[in-house]
Amino acid sequence: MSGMYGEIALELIKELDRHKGKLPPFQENELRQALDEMQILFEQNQRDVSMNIPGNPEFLAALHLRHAALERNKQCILAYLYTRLKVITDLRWDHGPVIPAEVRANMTEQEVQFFANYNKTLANYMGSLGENHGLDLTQDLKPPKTLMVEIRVLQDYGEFELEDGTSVLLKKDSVHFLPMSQCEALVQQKIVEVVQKQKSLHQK
Amino acid sequence: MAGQFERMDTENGTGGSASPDTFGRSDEEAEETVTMTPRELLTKLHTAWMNERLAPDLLPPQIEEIECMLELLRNMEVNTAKLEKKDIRLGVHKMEVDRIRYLISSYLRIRLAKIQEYCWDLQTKENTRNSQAPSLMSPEEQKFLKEYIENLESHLKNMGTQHMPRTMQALQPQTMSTSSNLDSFLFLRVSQDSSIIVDDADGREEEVSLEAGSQHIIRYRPVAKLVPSGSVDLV
Amino acid sequence: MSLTADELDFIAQEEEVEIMPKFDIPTMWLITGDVGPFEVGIPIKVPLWIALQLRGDNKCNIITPYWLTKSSMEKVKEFETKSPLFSKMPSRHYMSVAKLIFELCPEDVPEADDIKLLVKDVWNARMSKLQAAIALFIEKGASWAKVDNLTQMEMCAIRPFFPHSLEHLHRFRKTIQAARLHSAGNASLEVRRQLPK
Repeated sequence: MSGMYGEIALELIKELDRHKGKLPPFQENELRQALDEMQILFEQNQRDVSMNIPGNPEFLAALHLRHAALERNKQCILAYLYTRLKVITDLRWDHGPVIPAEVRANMTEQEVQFFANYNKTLANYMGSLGENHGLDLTQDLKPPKTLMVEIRVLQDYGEFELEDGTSVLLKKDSVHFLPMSQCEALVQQKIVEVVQKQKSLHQK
Repeated sequence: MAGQFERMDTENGTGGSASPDTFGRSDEEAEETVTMTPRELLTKLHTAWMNERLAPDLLPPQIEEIECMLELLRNMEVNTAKLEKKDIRLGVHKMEVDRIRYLISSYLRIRLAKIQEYCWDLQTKENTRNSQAPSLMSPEEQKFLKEYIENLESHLKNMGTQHMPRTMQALQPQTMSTSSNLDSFLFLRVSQDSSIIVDDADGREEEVSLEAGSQHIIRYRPVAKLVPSGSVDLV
Repeated sequence: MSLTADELDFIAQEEEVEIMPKFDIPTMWLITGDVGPFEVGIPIKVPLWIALQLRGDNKCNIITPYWLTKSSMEKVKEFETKSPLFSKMPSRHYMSVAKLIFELCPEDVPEADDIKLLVKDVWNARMSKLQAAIALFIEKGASWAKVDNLTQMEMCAIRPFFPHSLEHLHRFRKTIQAARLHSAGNASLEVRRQLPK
């Protein structure tokens, strides 16, 4: 083993720090090495304890040091595993019940299992709401907005019928208020453009 | 059924009376009946949402109120469906339902996030709770917490502690557990005259009277109890 | 913990404004309470979210709130820049209300562009005052303060930084105090509790 005690375990923590909130590939090797180091430290301590004449200060210091390293490794390993799980629970809220393939590739089998269990726990909870009618908490993440947008017509289109039965005449350069949901297709076809909203008054 | 909510003005016009709607909690005969208008209920949930959003700790659950409101929403959606598509009022009704559903979802989400974040601490509190004292969580939230912790601990054991030397295999959640930071400073508005003792960092204590209507910035700890009681609202 | 701009807008939409209906609309039995009936040309007070919804459908015009006029905002600005104190704002959510109305229907507000600038000036004046107040607060080592006329968005603008630094200062002072007591051998309650009986 090279380097100082706890160095590899610290690498795990640094890895978390480099990818805050993200899920890089699981550091299987590093985890294994940190666990191996714990085993070695533990065995060394055991050997020393069995051979040691009680009270020898030299042995005592080494014992304490190794014990501290053991505790530190344990702490780092658990922090690594736990922090990844927190990111994984966030996945459920950001991406829904199916993990995107590129994220999935960085997860271990056990992490996928954790995700599946979390999914179930959350689904059970959400299903229980509203006297078991259920309420999907992964929806309505933002406050509802008035669903109208101001649009400017880019090319003559003619009559455009709205869901409510009324119609508007889309003439080049005219400006209208339309329900967001109904003019998305028009925007995509470049028949209209959304008039740029003024920047919000308070600087964010 | 928790209420008689029939105020939607459908084609045949059931509405019109100016008396406030009431609905009671009729689940348990022994329980006192809470009578509130939908508007009062909404105001209460709005306050609960804001407090939960801004408080560092988990506040007592308002699950009965949430359930009542969800039922109102269900009724409202049924009634709105009866309106003609061209009815001018449709958009307003939809917007109201969306706004309230957002309020409720956000409120419950914030609580779940706190339950996850402080899971071990909350579990300890729950396990050491006096059986007479109300829980900080609804029964369903308690179930969520239990399952969440089981899932978490089983992963940490399988991937971590199980492979450690035998004397180090205990999980010791307290080393990973975080708890709410009651020393954070926050803003509040006073709704009922109150008086609190504020201790500064040097240990000096000072009595501060909070007059209804005033606003303060203050450490959370001295006022924490006043939030669930409704004497102050976080803003 | 701070509120997002979306959340602030959401809250501000509970504020009431007056609208001028363009259509007759029967009473709506909302959870929020009865609203209406609406009659063409008769102003009526409704929560801002209803006003915006109806305005978006072009069923009404929004009547400019009395304070969202050039002369009114000029007065507010004058007071705000001259007085060392925070004035009580005409609306607890003046920033959001102004923003939402200007976003949807600037044409309903006469001299909208001038007013926009005035609102921004008022905001800036209040923010710089706030910064000075914070400096004083920290310097004095106060442990609480009254902030009566501060609006929610202003609180959010100094959150999370300000409350956060207060918290650190608090801990800092506590640590120093504990160390002082300890070195003086002057057992405080806290220290005494840790001593074996």
